[in-house]
Amino acid sequence: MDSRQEPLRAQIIACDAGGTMTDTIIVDAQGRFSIGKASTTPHDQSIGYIESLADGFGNWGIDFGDRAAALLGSVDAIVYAGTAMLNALITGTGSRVGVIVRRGDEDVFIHQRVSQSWLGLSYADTLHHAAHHYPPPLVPRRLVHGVSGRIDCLGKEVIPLAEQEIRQAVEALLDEGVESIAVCLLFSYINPAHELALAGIARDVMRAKGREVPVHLSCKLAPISREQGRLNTVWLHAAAVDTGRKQYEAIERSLHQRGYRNPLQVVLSHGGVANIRYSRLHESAFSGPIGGLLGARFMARELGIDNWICADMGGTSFDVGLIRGQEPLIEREVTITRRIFNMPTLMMETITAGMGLYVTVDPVTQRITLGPESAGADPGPVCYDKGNETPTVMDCALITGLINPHNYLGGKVRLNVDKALRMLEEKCARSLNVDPCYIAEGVLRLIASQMKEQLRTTLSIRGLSPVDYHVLAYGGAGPLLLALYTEGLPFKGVATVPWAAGFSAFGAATVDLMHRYEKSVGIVIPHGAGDDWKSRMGEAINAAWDELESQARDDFLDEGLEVDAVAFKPIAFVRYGAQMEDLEIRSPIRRIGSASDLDRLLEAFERQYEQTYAGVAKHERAGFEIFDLGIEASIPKVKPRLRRRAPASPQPVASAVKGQRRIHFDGHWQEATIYDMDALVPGNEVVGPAVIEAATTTCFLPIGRKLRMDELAVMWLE
Amino acid sequence: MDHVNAGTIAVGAGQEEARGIGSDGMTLRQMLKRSRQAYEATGCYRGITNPCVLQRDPVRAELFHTRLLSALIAGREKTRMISASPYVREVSELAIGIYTPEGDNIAQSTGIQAHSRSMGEALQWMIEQDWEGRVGIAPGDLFWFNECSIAGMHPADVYDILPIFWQGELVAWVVTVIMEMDIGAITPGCMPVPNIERATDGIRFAGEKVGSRDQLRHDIHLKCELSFDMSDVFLLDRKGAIAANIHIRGEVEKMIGEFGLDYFKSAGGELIEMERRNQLARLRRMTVPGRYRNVGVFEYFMKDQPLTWLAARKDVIRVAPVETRIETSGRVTIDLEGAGEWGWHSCNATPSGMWGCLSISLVQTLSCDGRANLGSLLPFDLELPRNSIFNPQDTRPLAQANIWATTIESFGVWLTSLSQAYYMRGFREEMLGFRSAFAIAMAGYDQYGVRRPMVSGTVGTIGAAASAVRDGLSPGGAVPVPHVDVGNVEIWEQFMPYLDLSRRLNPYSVGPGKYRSGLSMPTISLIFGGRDITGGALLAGGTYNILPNLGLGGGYPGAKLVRAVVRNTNAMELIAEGKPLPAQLGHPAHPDFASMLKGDIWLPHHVPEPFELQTGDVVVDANGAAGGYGDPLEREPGRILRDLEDGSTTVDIAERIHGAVCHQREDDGCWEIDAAATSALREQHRKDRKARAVPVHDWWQGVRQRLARREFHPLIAEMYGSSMAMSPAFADEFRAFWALPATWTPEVK
Repeated sequence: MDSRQEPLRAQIIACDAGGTMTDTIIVDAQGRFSIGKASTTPHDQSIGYIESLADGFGNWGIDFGDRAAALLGSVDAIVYAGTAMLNALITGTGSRVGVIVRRGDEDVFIHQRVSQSWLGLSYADTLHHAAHHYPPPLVPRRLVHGVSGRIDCLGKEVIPLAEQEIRQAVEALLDEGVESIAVCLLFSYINPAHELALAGIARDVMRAKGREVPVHLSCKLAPISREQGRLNTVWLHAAAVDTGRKQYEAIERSLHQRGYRNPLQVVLSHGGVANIRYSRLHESAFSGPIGGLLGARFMARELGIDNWICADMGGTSFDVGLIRGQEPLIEREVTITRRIFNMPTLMMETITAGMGLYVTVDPVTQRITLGPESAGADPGPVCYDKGNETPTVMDCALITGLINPHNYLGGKVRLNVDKALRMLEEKCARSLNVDPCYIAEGVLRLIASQMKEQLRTTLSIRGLSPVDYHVLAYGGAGPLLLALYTEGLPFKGVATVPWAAGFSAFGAATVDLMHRYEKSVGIVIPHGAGDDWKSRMGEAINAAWDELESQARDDFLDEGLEVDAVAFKPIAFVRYGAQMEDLEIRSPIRRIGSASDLDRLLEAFERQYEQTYAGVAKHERAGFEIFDLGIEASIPKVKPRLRRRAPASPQPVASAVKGQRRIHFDGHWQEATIYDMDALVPGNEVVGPAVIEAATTTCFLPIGRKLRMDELAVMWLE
Repeated sequence: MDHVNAGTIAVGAGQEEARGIGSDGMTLRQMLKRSRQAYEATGCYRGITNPCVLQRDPVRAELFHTRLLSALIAGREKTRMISASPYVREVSELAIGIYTPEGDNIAQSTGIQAHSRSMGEALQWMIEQDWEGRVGIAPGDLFWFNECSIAGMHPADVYDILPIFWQGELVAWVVTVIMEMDIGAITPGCMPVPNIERATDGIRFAGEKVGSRDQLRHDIHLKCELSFDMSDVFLLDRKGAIAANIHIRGEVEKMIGEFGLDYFKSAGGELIEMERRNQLARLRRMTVPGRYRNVGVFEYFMKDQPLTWLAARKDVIRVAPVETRIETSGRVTIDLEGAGEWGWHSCNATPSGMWGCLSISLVQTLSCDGRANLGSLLPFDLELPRNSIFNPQDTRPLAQANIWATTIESFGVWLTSLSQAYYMRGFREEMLGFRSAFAIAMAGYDQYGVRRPMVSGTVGTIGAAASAVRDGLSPGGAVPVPHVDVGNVEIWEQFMPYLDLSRRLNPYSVGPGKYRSGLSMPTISLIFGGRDITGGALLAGGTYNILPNLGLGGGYPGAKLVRAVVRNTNAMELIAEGKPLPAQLGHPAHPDFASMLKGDIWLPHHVPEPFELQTGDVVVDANGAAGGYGDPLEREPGRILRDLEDGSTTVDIAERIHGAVCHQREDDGCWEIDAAATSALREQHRKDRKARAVPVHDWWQGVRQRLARREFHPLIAEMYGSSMAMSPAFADEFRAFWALPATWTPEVK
């Protein structure tokens, strides 16, 4: 962040509206940026958004209130990422949705996917039968109706659709006052005929009754196999999109009233951005958490480094994502609030490991235990002095001296070290008969160990190695333990940035207009298949890609965009015959023109497969299958630029040194130098033991480690 | 890694064993012997009386375990991604464990939790048989094991074994288990029911070296392709397991580099000893010492099965008293004295299987902190009478496809005892009743025209037990896998030629109580698209009819399993006429499959013999549910109304069982309860109960007279006769309780 020069023109603005804070980044035409913060206002997010925006301009010394029209009038794009859509899911405040499923599935929201009884629990609780429980049903049982009719797994109609049952179901749902109807029938991703016919009948009934509500079809919104996640996704769209869109529209209105002239854009879970009028707006439900990954992709491109593992530490969780070949990995199922959704989403693996986690000693085993419960923002850690007496990871960081009690949130919150120490002594150290500082440091090492294992596992289950990857840490707490959780893993490089606390908002500003489409197909290539067969399969693949591209063009047109600039990337999901999982392969060629072209696609799959799983796991004798194809369609958009500055001396200026502080590390107290992060400039180097502080983040550097700020202000741990 | 030519010196009788591949040049056999002797002498694992390496630095100990566990979990995820089996991908029927050189489990991944000890038993059998000297154990060697007469839960669970060496010394083993859908059994799939001879179970491996230098032998590859219809599924599962094992070996090597070899070796043993101590501490803290007695009844219906050995064609029932003795030290003995004799069927348990089920039950209750290992089991003793259904002495000739059927039921009973012990200590929320289930299995030509076995994964469809603080899950109580799942219809239908007609919950399956059990989720399958199909059962337990799924604290039993096969139906005609097919089980007295379909209904009251299926036939699998907790008349009205709203109960059940008078409003269809009428009806129910009650002495006299007159079914007579013949102590207690003469026997001589 550069707060020292007047911007020429604010060009891009992006925000990340989290559960408690709304971060906003303002990027000027030279790529300089400022990050503003304000409390999130869940009832009307536009309020928090404007306050955050004002804070961001305030960092540049600009009074937003006076100059809003001038400032926003020149902005090319404003992008939103956040929780507006998710809130409808969490709070149940979305539309009243009626659901139609195949006859026999009416209890689906009660029994759910059985794995939802343990998904999202801590590791110990997933084993503990008595801890299993389902999240509340998304839809009351009386609003779920079943209708006869079946498509089989080959896409053939076996049982015709029962028109009368549909009529009765729609009438009953309308009588119940539903505001929309979600439809999910089996195998509609292969053959949508029944869902389409159902929608037609439903519209007839509505017309006859004089009341029309939207009918949302799974074949349109989430044409991916596994019906339970697909149904959840259609429900999400039906329940949350109207509410979410209203929030977006309120923000857009608020911006327009202040002079902004373009449509508000929203980040999608797969990393694209769309106009808030986009038809599949439910894809924005998971936009907040992925902002950081988008920022990481941008950094990868700016720095010209292909492979990154990204680490975001918050109050309760530690999120890890991957950038491979400058592209984030995407998965087709995502778990949100312990429910599975079929929705292409940037891969992110989460463990319970945050600064707010409680620290306890198991009374039976005498083991030091972290979480799974956490103190949250209120009452917060013991050191907040707001009533909590159970120590947290944050308290341990404070006790060891890694966090400055007078600089938390820029000094806005004073932390009570004595109380934190007393409670750690009483609650943990005494029963183990050890020094509380041993516990405090041990807790930091334990949580760092769990984070390190998550980094290691995220790579290893995909056959990847740390030696090929750089680490990028962000989030307010991300840099604090960075040196610890990367220690001992042979990463190519370890980096963080001064704007780590606002990195998700930064990421949202870096995204192109991009949509992603998938379609199920039935491509089978037996072992030893001849050229004729391969050519036929190639034609089927091309036809699917053509169809998806056409759909993308239509959607861009609907959003009022110029389609000539659209770039397409074809994708195939390939597996060996009979396998349950496939790999997403970016096709090395635009279209399959011959049998050898298909071979090139399959070779790309086998290369990636061997890299992911090991050579022994290859099984080409089973042939190959492609059950899903996809495309990414994108239009470039203006992005922030990182300003390159000539390196200064390695020695930071004297004013960057805030003083000395005792820290407990490596089993003893030692003196560490305290630096002001905002005063560091490119070229500066800091040698540990040191603590580098900013208002919203802290970076700890143990003895023997060095931090170097490069020309783009990226801070590298060496 | 260097290839070490290890264990090359054969050892004959009486010879000193030569330099081995174990610690300090010992052979693995020597290490195992030393470890066992040390345990016998000290009561501590490997004689570790002072686990100082872990205790000296508890933070480092945590770091070590975190590292180990994450390697196992990562390996397991890798296997899931490679697998071709919905059992692995959808239902997670796999697990990975890491073992000491002596074959003792240090840590295990998530997944099926039965094998932590039995995989070690397989290793120890290999060690005892001097695999090191006679077969050779070298870095990169691959071994397979599913020989259940030695170790394991059933032959479908195949172990992939990989030794881990460090500078020429075997420092650990990693073992992965996957349940296979096809191992070439005589009837559908992997768990045949009607067979009695081992060869009909399918392929067996007893520690066979199937590869070296991390590669499968070509002949093994070919053998698999020739042996199974679904060889691709089998081989991809195995390759997934090998890839996982290789991954974990690499992680262990890195750990040794980080922590040091001495730490790794010491910490492994100390983790087991610490868990032993922790388990004792948990038992002391969470249970009340004493003697807990419950009973299991096991049914083996073989009379109509197409057996090769006519002598086996008979139905038998076995009773097993399950006595749990918890000492003040925390040690527990589970004593099955009085269990009846083993028989010629595939459902006899084995000690290995019994330990496996104990492991399952502990991982989900007492030892659920992720630290479970062999140490979790060391405070336990199992008393399994020789030649009983739990401990046949020579299992080599026997089919063993359904060891689960007996083991899992007995541990369902044991968990009732544990729940009682929890309750007395005040851990009301920990109470737990388990039920298991079985599922449909088929073989024939599928919808793609491929001949193969097919098994469905509906074992997770049972209703889980209530605790003393909440209702059970609907569904969610499958025993073998804590991470239970049922999967998606769209996945299962790709693997079997059927259309799923129902995933409706069954309100009649509930075990009522103040807190009810979960509802089971019956499946109704319309056979469609295949040909020449033979149906059968995938038996995993829960088939029993005599003892219900008992409740706790006054809760009522859950429903029993219902199975129906409706053949020669008019289903296809109904489809053509646009008429509906059954989509729920309906009322037990007049189920929908009977009222909506024409056809030949077969209601097998036990695990059926193989049967023919064709397009249009309907198979109903309705698993039961566990019991409720507490008096159903004390159920809160709000819970009853909620159940009515979501169809989890009926107005009839509400009145008859809960004494709740409920009405559905005409205007909005919502349910409401008539408080005054409910109060009166509950009072009436209590009066009726009293009116039906009989003084204990009268009841005792009545039963005693029936016993004296031997008024019971011949199968029951044979059942008691078997137990009394097996156990004089049982016979004495039985006669004493019922005041019967010392010469009394249940069977007329």
